[in-house]
Amino acid sequence: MPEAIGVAQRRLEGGDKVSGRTAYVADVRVPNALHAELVSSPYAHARVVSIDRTAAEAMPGVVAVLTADEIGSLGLLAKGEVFYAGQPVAVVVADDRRLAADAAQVVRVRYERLPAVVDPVAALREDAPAVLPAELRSQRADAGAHGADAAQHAASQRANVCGEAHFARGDVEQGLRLADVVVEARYRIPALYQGYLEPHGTVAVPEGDRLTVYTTTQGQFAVREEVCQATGLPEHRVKVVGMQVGGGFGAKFVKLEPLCAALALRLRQPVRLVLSRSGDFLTSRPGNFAEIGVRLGARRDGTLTALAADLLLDAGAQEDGTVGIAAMLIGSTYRVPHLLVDGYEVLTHKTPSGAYRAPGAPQAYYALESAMDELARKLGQDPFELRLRSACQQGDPRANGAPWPRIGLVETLEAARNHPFWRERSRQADEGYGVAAGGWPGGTEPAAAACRINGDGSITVQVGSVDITGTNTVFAQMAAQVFGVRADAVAVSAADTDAAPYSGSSGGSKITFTVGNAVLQAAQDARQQVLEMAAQELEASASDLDMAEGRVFVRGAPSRAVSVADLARSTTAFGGSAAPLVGRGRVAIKRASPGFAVHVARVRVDRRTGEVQPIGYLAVQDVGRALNPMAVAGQIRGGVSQSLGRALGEAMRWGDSGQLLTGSFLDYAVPRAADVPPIEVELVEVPAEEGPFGAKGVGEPPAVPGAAAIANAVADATGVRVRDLPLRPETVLAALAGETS
Amino acid sequence: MEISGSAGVKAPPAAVSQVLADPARLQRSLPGCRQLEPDGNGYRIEISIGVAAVRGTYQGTIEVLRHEPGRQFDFRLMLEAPRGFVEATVATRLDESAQGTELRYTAESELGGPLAALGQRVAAGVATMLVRQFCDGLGREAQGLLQG
Repeated sequence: MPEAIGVAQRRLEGGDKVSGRTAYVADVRVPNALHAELVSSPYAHARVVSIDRTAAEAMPGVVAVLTADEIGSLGLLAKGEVFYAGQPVAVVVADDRRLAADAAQVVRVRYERLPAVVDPVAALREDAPAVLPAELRSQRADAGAHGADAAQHAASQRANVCGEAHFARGDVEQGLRLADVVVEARYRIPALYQGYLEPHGTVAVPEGDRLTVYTTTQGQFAVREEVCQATGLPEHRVKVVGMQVGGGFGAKFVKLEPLCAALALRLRQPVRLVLSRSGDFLTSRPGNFAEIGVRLGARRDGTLTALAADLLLDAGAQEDGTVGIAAMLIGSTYRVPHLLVDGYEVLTHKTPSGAYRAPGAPQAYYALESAMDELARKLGQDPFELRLRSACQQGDPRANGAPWPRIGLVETLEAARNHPFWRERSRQADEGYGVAAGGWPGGTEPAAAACRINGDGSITVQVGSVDITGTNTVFAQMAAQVFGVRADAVAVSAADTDAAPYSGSSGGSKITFTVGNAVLQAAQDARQQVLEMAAQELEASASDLDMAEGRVFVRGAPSRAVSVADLARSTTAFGGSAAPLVGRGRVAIKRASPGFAVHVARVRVDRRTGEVQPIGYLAVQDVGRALNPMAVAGQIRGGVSQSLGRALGEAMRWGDSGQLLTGSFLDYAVPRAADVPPIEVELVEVPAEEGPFGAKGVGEPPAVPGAAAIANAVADATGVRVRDLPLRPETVLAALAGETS
Repeated sequence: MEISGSAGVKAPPAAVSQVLADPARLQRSLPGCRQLEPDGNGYRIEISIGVAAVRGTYQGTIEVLRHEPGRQFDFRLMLEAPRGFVEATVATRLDESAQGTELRYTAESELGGPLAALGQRVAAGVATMLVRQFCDGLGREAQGLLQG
């Protein structure tokens, strides 16, 4: 019987993607479609005094110029007041894309500039002016869609605090007094653009009393819910078609869809809204800026005595939910008797923050793992030794006191320590190695799936999840394993919200874990139906039957067999006597599958230029069970590459008055292929109790430890610690020259 | 963003100041200036720039902060275009030189909107180019005035 699980399988959709045949939302062609263009505020904070649309409306081909006064804010449009530079204040709709862009240029908006609160530290102060009026507080937050454990929240009196997390255990001051060595440091991590290839885009098509929305999203059901909330339509009258996604990384939940839907309904015509790259930058939902202070104490032998951490995350001009995740993780990774974590998230007049692959975790672990490295250096201890002494295991308390389920942090640390990349390390001049761990709590959400046996015996799996990482390929492998066939004998239909069973959004490292369980259940259900049909045919008990390569046979007597195709044909024939074969899976898994990764970076630092060159990399990760090792390794390499950008070059910057200064790939430097060193991947398999075949979420952990691993390697190479990311040459050079960062 | 520099004008400082105080001549000196009308303590202007990411037609005001003929011309510039805005406070010194006038300037400026997001990198270069063109224009107009 062919094994389908644990076998490297090329991604089902990969061929179309690399050969340019994949249709993305910008490729959707709908007859009579209108084109929408946004008119954006150049000011970070201003009152909209007037909007003169006469010149735009007079242009032939312009159908409408609309503002929040007519169609509402729809999560995007300013209504009377703008809160970030780039916030749309009006939308022009015309019968041609270029015409819409030209018309948007002649919409005259008069603004009264208001003072902008740009610096998150200033925004936190008790006397800071409120960034948002009270009626705009408590909106949706993308990081919440990741489903990570909620933090303990407390209401703050400060005007701009929009999220808090506080965790305490023991007496942290006492714990620090018990320490022989204390590391005290502050770390800053900039806001980051997710850097996906495909900018946001949506096409909305009204048809009778229904609306169809084609969009690039990680979660089509989430889009449907918000479109319905915005338009008042019931969910069965809105169909969302989640297109192939050209990269999301947390940025693509819901953005343009409510606006585009409202325009289509109002104008009774299809409307297309596809952003340019600069439009995408201006309205992006970047990963949060964070400033994290750490005090970490240990005894001479490396036993941790206390950890105090204060976190400040910048939410931009909309409430976010990331600080809870960051605070939870920073206080949950190592056993420490005295713990105090205080996290705040503040509003500022900047583009609202969103989710970026493991929201909050790279920030938390950059601080925690840099501090652990500083501690190891002060103690003169091996970095693995120090971590293994206190690394959390099953049953150890998390920051909120709840015990960890079975996790693989210790196994992952040990695998990294024993790997030849570390064990046989050799250092030339100005080279160094850095170690860092990181984790992600994982997410859960109810999910359903169907598995149909077609008339010819082939298998179709139906799901409603959006495949951003190769999950459909894994679903095919799961069904193939159940039926004893090769994965290419299974088709996976990722249907729209009309046709597909429910699935949560592809975020939080949960699709294989949740939808995968539903697929497994559905395939097993369909298999049982086939076996019961065969039992009648073969005059045997179903429990005595087995199935492989399209045949059902009596165990021990393989010549007594019937083909699945013959059985299935009778379920789809005119006058046929058997009911169609349709398996059903529905799950609501309650416990997430936390995943940990340990990275080791090797860098070379050019002392004349400050340039940091990664020259080798090891990524070790507990994946529970690698259902498709090729896809898992690909995920890990992608996460490492993003971490290199985070560590060495990427940063969203704003000027003092809230102007975005990095609005294109000219000024926002993502790593290119030549910047990425060879990456060795080692998989650790500590099975997740509730995961399909033991699998756990693998998407987010590889994006977590990288920045700290690189910074620790730079410290190892130079003896100099740079605590503010990114480690650009000028920063490193200044640090080498003795100026502290 | 702070921009500073200097450029030569082929006319003496007193003539340059005369051009600066004459709306018609000032308009002709300014590259791409479509309209310049006196307004209070300065001018209302419309100006077209055709360079890279700062391309567009800008409308706004020049507010004269201080004009000492033959020596100094300080002003505040506020321009708006669909792609963003430019605000600048500019201090200009006129010194006699071999060729006529050495015009030295320092400007504290702010860009906003897509102009800031995309144009930051080229803004200083474009400003330098426009100042040179302006100084050439000032020279031409001042010569015309002197030959007048």
